[in-house]
Amino acid sequence: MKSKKYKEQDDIDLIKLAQKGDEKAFEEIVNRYSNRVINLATQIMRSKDEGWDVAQEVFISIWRNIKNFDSTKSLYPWIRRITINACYEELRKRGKSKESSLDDVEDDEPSIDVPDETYSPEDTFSKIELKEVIEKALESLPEHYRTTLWLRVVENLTYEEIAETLNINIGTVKSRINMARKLMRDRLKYYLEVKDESS
Amino acid sequence: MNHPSFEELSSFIDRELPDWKIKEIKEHIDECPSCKEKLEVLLIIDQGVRENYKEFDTQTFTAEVLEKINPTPTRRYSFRLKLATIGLAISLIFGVSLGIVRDMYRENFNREKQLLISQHNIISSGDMGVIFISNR
Repeated sequence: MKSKKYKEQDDIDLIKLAQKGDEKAFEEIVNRYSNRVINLATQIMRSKDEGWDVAQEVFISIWRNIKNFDSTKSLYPWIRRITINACYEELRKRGKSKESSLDDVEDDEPSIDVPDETYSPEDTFSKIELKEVIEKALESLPEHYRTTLWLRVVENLTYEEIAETLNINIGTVKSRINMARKLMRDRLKYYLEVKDESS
Repeated sequence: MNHPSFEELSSFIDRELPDWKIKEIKEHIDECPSCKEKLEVLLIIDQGVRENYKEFDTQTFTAEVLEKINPTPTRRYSFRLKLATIGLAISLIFGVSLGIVRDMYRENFNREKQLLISQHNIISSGDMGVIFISNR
């Protein structure tokens, strides 16, 4: 009955309660946003386990800092921002993150990878479904392209919102999304060609 | 119009173009199978990316987060449990030891009683250690 009461509350009320130390209200916030946060972190970290761990750290950090949050603002953009920063911080710690600096501007287009054996039509396309091919293609994207595309397509942010979230300019957002789609298209080209031939 | 560029098609599906441009591209696509195909590939990619969104076990996740945030109640509970277990163990050891000592005492007492009976021609004894000695 009590948990139902929390489920019916909107974010602002939950934040206010959590700011007073109400753990149940915070629990509802975690329930509400954890799946999105884990998904986002998994995309950036390129690993479910690491995404899960970082997402936990994100919510712990939110709990510790919830008193500083301005409850008149939207909650999820704040959570998303913390998630992205936490992932970048984690990647930076591991020295993986040359590509993931928030200040990166991609003036030079990366060379388009030649698909490896995973994408070769002979042994793969009969077995792997389109979904899996796309998943692999997405995984193979450089982190900043993957994250930007994810924010656009899954989180449904506008270019402006992405620019704000990642602290980059709109032109960079646009070029990252275009490049991500180009790379994905080239990865999928073999699959789609084989499909066309067989149909 | 000319064929829209890849960038224009990409912005088109994101609706990040002015309305007039969106209308223009839409009209072109209706008439151009080649551009329609290019657009479809982009839509397949977006759909595939969307399908990468997974459902995680958020119940376990939430429980783990709450446990990390506030592990104190669990600790207090386990401390009490430990205390109760130790108390029980001590009582058990004490009780068993007491039983052993009592048995040893009784055994000793009986042995001495038997010795007395045999030495002093005693024919019976009472529970409280009162001994009746025969004059025979």
